[in-house]
Amino acid sequence: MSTTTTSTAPAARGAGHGTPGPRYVGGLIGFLIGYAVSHLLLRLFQGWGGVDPSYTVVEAAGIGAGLGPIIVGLMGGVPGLVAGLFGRRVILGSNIFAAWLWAVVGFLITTLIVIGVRLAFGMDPISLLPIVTFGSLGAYLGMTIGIGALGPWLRFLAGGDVDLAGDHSQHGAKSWKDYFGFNTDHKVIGIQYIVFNFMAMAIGGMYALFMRAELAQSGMQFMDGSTYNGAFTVHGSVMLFFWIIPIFAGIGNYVIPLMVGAADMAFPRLNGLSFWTLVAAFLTSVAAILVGMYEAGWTAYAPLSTQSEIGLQQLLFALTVQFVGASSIMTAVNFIVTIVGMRAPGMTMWRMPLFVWANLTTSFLVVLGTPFIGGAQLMVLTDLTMNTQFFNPILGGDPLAYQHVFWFYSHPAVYIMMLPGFGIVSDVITTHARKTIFGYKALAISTVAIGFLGFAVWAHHMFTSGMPDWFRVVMMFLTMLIAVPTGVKVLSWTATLWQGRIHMRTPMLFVLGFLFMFTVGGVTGIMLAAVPFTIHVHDSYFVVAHFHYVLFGGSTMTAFAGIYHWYPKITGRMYDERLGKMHFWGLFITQNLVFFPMHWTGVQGMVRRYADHPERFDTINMVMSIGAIVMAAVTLIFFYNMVNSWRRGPKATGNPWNSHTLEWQVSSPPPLFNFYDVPRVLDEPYPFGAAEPVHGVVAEKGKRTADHPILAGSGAGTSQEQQG
Amino acid sequence: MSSGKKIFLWVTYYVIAFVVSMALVSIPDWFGAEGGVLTTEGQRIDNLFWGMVILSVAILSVILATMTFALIHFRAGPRDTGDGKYMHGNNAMELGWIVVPTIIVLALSWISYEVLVDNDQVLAEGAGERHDRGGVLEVDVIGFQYGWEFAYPEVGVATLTNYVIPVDEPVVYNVTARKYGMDPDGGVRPDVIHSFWVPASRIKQDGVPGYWSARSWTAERTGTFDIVCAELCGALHYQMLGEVCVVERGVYDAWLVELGEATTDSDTAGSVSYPCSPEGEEQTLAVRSYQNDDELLGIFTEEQGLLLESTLEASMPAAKKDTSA
Ligand code: HEM
Ligand SMILES: [Cu+2]
Ligand SMILES: [Cu+2]
Repeated sequence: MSTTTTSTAPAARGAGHGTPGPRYVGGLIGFLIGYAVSHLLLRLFQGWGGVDPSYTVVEAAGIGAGLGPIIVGLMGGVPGLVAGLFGRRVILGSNIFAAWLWAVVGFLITTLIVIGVRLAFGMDPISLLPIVTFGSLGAYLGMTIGIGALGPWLRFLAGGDVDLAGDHSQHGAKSWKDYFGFNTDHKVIGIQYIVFNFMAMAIGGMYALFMRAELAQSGMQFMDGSTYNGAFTVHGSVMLFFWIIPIFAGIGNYVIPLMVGAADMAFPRLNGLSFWTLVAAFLTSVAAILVGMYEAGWTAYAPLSTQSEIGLQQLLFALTVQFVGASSIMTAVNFIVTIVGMRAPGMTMWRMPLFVWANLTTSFLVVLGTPFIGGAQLMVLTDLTMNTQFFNPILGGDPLAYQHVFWFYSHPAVYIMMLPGFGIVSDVITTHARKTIFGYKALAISTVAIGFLGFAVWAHHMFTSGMPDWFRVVMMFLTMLIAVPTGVKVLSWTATLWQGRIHMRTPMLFVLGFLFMFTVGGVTGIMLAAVPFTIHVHDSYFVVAHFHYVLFGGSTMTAFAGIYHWYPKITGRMYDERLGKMHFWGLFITQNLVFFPMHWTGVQGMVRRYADHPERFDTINMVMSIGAIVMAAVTLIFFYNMVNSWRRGPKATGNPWNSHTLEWQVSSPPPLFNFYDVPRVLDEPYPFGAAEPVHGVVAEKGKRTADHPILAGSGAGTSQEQQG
Repeated sequence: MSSGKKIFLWVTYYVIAFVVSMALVSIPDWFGAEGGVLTTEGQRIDNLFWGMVILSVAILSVILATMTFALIHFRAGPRDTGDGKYMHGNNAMELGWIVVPTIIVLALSWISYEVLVDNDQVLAEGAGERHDRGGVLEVDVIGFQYGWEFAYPEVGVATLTNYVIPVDEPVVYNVTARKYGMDPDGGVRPDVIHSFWVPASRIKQDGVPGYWSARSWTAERTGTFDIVCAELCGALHYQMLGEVCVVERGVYDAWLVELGEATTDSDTAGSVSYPCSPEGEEQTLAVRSYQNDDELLGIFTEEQGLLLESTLEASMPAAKKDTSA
């Protein structure tokens, strides 16, 4: 949990940590000091330079004017209280309290610097947007230091004698508390990601329910226009940035090093840092929600997003995107190096499980694409804070430029949200159909092909924007071509079922459900690529239906499949099969109930991102809203199953599905450093039905891989290598 | 099972899947809203849609039939620990499902391209420039936060919210958005992107500040049809509604004369009668004059009259960001 766990607890016991009496006194004093300091600062800002007191740093902290003083006080007071109670252990202890404390400190220090600089240059010292911009960066730095992410790096920079490569001081979890702190173990980080992402999904889902409640009837029920805009923006952004993109990073984190036979990711500390950067992004996003919700859509088109009316929220949104992007890129680089450089001996590229292929391709997309959304949002940020006017049409800026830069990332991004899911499908379907995957190479190559083509079709999101006609035609042909490698995948999976021995366990159900849902989403994708038709349904509910079929029916279903499939590996226990099936059928039926009618309303003229609709859509919208409520209830079954099985489920063996890939050859959950010796890979990853079905061998506890009967017997298995 | 029987069964499943899915997607009345499609161009789009629906169902049925077959005939027994057939693929088949879909999507692209060309015929035939399209009726559509203006360059007058066109005649829409908007405190700020969509016409076009984009369509029936804004533009996006009023040529001509006489003074608003008023009600349309783009892109307010672009530009940078100054 902390860098100092080995150097015994007593040393870490700080002042006032002895008997209960002095401890509480210390806590109280800490609280008062923290509260007083925050208040003083607040007063100082408010009085300064004749600034309107209701429009100061109070709002930067994410609060309306009235609650401001109290909350700002608590921001300082609560860390003060905790620090007083637990002393040094908290202030310097690498945990979330310290992270919070140092985040506040970081924010305040940067704020003071900004004010100082502005004074020095003769400007009005208090200015909200610059303070928030730089303050967030300061808070981020403070938080990462407080959580203990940077410890060894900082010591190294300070000239300390640190063995960065052999640094395992924060590896592995001993109790549940360790999951709330900084860790460098990919298995711990994987679980941190997954749990965090499910929480985000629940939040995103809640906003979806708000929207469905508003849309159940025509007329305005209980929202106004901007609240509704906020609701779908938050829903969309949370679902994309904190659910679907990182859930695959989470599953990948847990599974990829095991699959390639590595002890951990290539850069364990960077890995932990990407997770906590995502947390920082989330907190920034929450701050934006508190100041009044960003409401320009997840696409945040300029000049809507650069209008001053929604300036502060949008600024926080732009910062969120920077943090999310940084986190994605760090993870992607880590995956690439791990997959390219740390595979077990014998694991050639053509012997990698398809989930590994998918992750590799996705990671390249992330590294190449993410800078573009970062760039687009950085321009929004400077338009907001520095009067750069990139997108201001009055002063010669170009609103369409935003869309080009944005979609140059965000189309590849839809594959970032889907390709890892494709990988999961391949692994799950072959395992539970007990048959070699059909067309392994075709599946691997089509993944890469989709990755390449994905960069050439961004403008199909802009068919009605007014770009040149010839360009629309080019984009149409290229977009349609993407359907080819996608079709190869769907057909190969279906063919894998042929002559298999299909076990209808929950992960398999989700994959079969995925096959149906994704094919529907795929064919509507082709329809949307047809320019004349898109000119009609662009920005209508037809598009909403399309991307929910691919993102919910597609990606999210694969994420569920993956969670169920690797649940025994991750938790060491079996989930409840009956509840899993209930979850699947409930979700599958309600998904179609909620999203299929959207095709129809869209074609009929129901506009996307409208808080209201004509009366003629009343009945169908009521049906969709009821479906959404049932869907939420069904999701509760899932949460119950996960939590309950983790505590009480039957113990899982190392390889409950009789699979061949490496992660199943070790215990569930795997040992601290995954393998007792470097594994050897001998053959294809899915040798179901082969005469001697072996993908690779791992060492028993206390032995070496070379001692394994297969290797010891037959000249290191060279005879097998010919087969693949 | 013999391969003949397999093929027979598969085909049976395919037919069932196709018929059932086709029946399901045929239940909704896809294009019935507002009495069906309004325009010639829209009819082509509806046809394309139906073609694509049938194609989609045909593709989906391949997956459904194969899945059904597999789930019925290749299920493992409850205690079955065996494996399926050991095989890695089939090159001929894989080549087939690369080539055939490629042909299908290329053909579909080509058909779509043809429809696109047909639908843009009027634009292609006109002389090409805005307000110079060989005599075709032109309407300038200007979106702003939050509403629509429809300008008739012929007479130099613009209407608000609703507009009037003649039936059976191609109309070219030059779509843009105002550059200048007004924030709630009366300050100046850039306006945003809007999108002009008449669902019954099946055509939409974004209005981007600083860009003019043209679309054209021909209404085939008289009546009124909804206008919506299809690009998120702010808090009242969902209220950016209007109505297009399609009337006989004679009615239109008379209305245009009235419109031309409604106002000549660019500083004041006027009003004209609205031919599509509901029975027994006399509605009017608010109008204002505009003679050139300069006026078009300024802000018109009832209290202040017309603020011209040049005036606004001067006040712009200072007014834009009082928060960060
Ligand atoms: C067969 C492959 C696909 C094709 C041909 C395709 C095509 C399209 C097209 C043309 C649009 C623009 C529609 C419009 O705004 O008028 C679109 C939108 C969208 N697609 Fe796909 N798509 C495909 C697969 C996917 C996948 C795999 C995902 C994600 C997992 C996805 C997610 C989205 C999203 C999120 C949007 C809406 C973006 C927005 O405007 O907010 N699509 N798709
Ligand atoms: Cu796209
Ligand atoms: Cu709008």
